[in-house]
Amino acid sequence: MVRGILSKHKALVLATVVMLGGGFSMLEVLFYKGFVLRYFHLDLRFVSVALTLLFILTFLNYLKFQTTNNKYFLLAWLGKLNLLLLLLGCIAFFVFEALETAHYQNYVLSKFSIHYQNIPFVLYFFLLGSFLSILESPKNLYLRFTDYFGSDLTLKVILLFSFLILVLSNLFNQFSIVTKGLHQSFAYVGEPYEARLERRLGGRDNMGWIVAYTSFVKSHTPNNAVIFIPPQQALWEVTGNSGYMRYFLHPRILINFEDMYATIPEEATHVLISHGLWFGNAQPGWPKIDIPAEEIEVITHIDRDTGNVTVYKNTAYTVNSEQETWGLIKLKK
Amino acid sequence: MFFQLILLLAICLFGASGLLYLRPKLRLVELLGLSFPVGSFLVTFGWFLLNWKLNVPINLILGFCTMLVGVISFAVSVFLNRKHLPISSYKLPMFSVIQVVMLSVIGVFFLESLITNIIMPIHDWDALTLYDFRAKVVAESQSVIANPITEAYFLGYPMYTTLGHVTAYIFDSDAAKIWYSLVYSSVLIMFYSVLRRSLNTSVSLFGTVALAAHPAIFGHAHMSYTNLPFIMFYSFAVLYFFLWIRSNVYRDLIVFSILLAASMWVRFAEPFHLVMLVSLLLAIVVFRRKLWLLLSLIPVFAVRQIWQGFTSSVKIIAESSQSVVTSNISRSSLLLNSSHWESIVSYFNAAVVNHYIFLLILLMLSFILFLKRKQKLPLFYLVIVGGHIAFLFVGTVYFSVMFDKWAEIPGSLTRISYVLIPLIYYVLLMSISKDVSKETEE
Repeated sequence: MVRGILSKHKALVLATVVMLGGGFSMLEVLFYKGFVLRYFHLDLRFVSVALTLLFILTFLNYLKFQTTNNKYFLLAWLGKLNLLLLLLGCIAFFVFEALETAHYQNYVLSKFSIHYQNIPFVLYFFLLGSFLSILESPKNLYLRFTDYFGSDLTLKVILLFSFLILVLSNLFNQFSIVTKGLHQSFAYVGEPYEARLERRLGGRDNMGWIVAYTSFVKSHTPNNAVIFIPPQQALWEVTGNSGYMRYFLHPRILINFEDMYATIPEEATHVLISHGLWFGNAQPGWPKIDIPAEEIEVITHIDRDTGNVTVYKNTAYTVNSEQETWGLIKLKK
Repeated sequence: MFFQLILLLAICLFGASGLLYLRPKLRLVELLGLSFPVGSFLVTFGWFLLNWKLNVPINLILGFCTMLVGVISFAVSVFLNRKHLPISSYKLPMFSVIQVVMLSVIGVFFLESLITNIIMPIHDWDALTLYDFRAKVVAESQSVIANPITEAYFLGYPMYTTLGHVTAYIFDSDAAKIWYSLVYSSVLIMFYSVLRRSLNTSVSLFGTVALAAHPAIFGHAHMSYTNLPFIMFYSFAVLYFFLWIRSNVYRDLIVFSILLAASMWVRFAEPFHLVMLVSLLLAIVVFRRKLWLLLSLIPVFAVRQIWQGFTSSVKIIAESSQSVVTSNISRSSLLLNSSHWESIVSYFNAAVVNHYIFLLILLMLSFILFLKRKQKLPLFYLVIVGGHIAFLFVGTVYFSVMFDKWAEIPGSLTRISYVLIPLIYYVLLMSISKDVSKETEE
């Protein structure tokens, strides 16, 4: 029976597929992702695959057996309409993407009340519908198809569509990265290298702090300094990573041990004071051992928020995990 | 940055000058795509040898000399090949609207990567700890043998990307990441030219858009890792190998040989060249090619030997690959343990299969197509792609036995598996589209 309906009403099937797919997808743009599943109990992904397969099979069948030109007119018109909507939809998506990037997350939702991230699904059905526009000059179309694709036309077209879906999905996802990348890059223009690196690493509140912090350490140590740094674990995965810290502090020599409470090695000229810049179960603040004043020449602290430097002389170092402390201890030698 | 750009241009010219001697001549687009990979390999490897063997300092003067050599060698090659220049038969193509749209998409992706790479500093973890740190030390010391870059940690990685960064640092530029935009553009142009050898312009452009927008490829166009350069060399060595099987033209085998050798100059640890050794042997048997063609693998083994010679000469054996070996005799018994195999399979699924599941399904469909048509050549391509997946699995099993912390960095295996992307895309497009090579082949 289905076969009979398909053969008699192929044009109707094609038009319905496009409109049904486009309509369902549009609901998710206007309301929210998952709307179709909630109210129609249909997973849009499976619906899309099923509709696409139905479209391909009907379309190829239509081309194969249709001979008179007049029946193509309406479908070709629908195809052209879809092409126009595809173009407009692409422009709308890119504009929304740019607006979202230029303002803040969910800007488009708050201003226009639409979920523009779901537009690509709609565009896919517009693209599918656009294929109908080639019916405008249907003469020998099936022959031209078979001539180009060779044998196994159906399987190849299914393969092509599947690949197309993958490519389109990647394109839209990457376009979002392109707009964000350009927006971010232009915002960095003119800034010095250190400032750009700090922002790229997430800013001072994040990993970017390492840039200002190591710059401070560099300016307070000679090139031949031997710096005792935390063990590479827990909160000190960054400041205790000698390979990573070396990038910023070269040619200074960095030493660390696995033991959090290890005593200061003989050759060390400086000790890093690191609150911790990573995640993990540990009390913040390193070194974990008290250092008497007679071993210390000077303690220099740097404030993470303001960058202000404070110098303490004739003071012992005592462990303090309550207050965020960053700095450097210069040892007496 | 001005001189850095001139140097990069000279590197391309240097690469092109060598390629102009190949016969039958390369198409212009193929020449454009291959110029940077070949030039960058020859220049960085040349710098390394000059510094290591002859103590020629890697500095501004070497940079200017390279510019001069690039321009002169290109001029000489153009003069000597003036009757065979690809430009002599070049006609400006007429693009349709859809082709212009696809070209624009590729252009936007490339420009974004270029602008971002010029402005954004290098920040990726491995780049800071390894490749870029080493580049800064080389630029500062003007030598590839300086402390601490002779430590075991650094010797497991050849210097292609490091010396690529040095091309910026010797001119006091901080835009070292431009290198990766050039790698990205070369990957795209090469992919287009490889596809264009068999398919029409529209399908070739579509394939190029697909590759340009792949998250891994586009993502790595912004990262200072070795993965994209490795794809540029290794994946395209395999594609030129496919082209050689198809065309039986020595030019393709020469390009394959150069690109494969260059891949060894990017990543040393994974023995992908052994996959190509087996593939070449297989091709010689299946397609009845001459046995002496195995000589095309000499360059890759030569590069390997040279790098090994270097690591030995700096008196530090690459302990990085030995110190973590924990009594592999006792660990090999793990292979008798079914739970160990379960963890290998789940690790492999998470790191590789899950990333390619959709593409693998499509590959199976194309396998059915090839099988139905009883086409030996595309089936051979599929066997090679399958061989690479098998190689990654065998490699995982090997690492699980040799290294106790084998499962801690799944991202690494995922990144290595990116070499599959251009290969899978190529096979898929070949299965979908009509081969128009008879019309397009010169």
